[in-house]
Amino acid sequence: MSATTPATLDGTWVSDPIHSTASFAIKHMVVSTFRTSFKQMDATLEANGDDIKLTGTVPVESIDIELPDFRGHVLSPDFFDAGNHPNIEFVSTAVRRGEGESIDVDGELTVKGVTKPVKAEGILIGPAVNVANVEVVGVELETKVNKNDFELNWNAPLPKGGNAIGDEVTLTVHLELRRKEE
Amino acid sequence: MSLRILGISGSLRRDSHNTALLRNARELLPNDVELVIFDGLKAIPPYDADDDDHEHPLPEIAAFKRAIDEADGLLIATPEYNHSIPGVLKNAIDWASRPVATTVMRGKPAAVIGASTGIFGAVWSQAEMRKVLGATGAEVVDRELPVVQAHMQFDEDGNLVEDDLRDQLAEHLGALVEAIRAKAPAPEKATAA
Repeated sequence: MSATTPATLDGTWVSDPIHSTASFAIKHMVVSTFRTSFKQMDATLEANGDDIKLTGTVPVESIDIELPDFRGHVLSPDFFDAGNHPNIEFVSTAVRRGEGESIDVDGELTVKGVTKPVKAEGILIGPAVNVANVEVVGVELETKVNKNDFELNWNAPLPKGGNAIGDEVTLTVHLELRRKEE
Repeated sequence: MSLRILGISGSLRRDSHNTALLRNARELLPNDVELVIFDGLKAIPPYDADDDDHEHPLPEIAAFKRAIDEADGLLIATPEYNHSIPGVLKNAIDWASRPVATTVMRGKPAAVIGASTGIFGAVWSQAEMRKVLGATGAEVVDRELPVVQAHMQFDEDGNLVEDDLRDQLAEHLGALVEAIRAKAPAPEKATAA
């Protein structure tokens, strides 16, 4: 980035799959935390002044669980029902930049065919120019949702009390977005 | 007094995580406690009362009951099938529990551990196993050892990777040994009163 050309967010930015992750964490066995990621994700950020829009799609089949039985259960109708609902979708409805790098995002999250409003908080860093001389923007967002709101209803009581998994799920995205060539 | 614990793995698989767990347990016991791993589970036929001749038991059943009888306590390592005990394991315990009046299970201290490749560590099958053992008259140690994501817990030699888990297993075994010693008859006094 040269000193004479101030970086602008205006334009369209697309996610670099290598440096972008979508992950989630959920309590299991009352006190432990299970977390994993999705190996694929497409995200786009479009900016025109203060008008910023963020969209993203995650194929649920890309979930990073190798064990066939475990994976099969998570992709079954007990959870994501991947056969009928292959993608998780996010579309922002409002993006507000706050102090420094902070950012608030309202949006609609669709999981298993159920769309619910969510609010996420995080940071937006850049634009900056990376070592390959490409303009990049970093976006990190986190929100919490109740899995049952999206009809991921599976659970089971543990023999000594409590449930197998929690209801609250923490969703996190770490995005590196590159300026889309016009 | 040296003690013997009979280890029973509910998994017949050659590279069973539960059998590996028993082998690890063997290394964690005090020097005066041996753990013998029962290897005849697959040979035990389906329970049939018509075959259950208490005077002339089938050799496989006689061997299983003798192994239990000669042990001071039981350590059962169970996988989990559909939130419950593998049929072969339940079947073997059903044989051992007969006849009710003289079963070798009665009063036998017993602890349960379990490994599964999922994130719950056979916690439901361990609970079911404890329930079944209680029904047979065994003295069940009321604690569980869920080994989660079992495929990641052992090195290529079958040894537990995590010190924490090894410590938990040692603690679990300690509770079983304590239960056994609590039952052991007091040493005879040198002179009669």
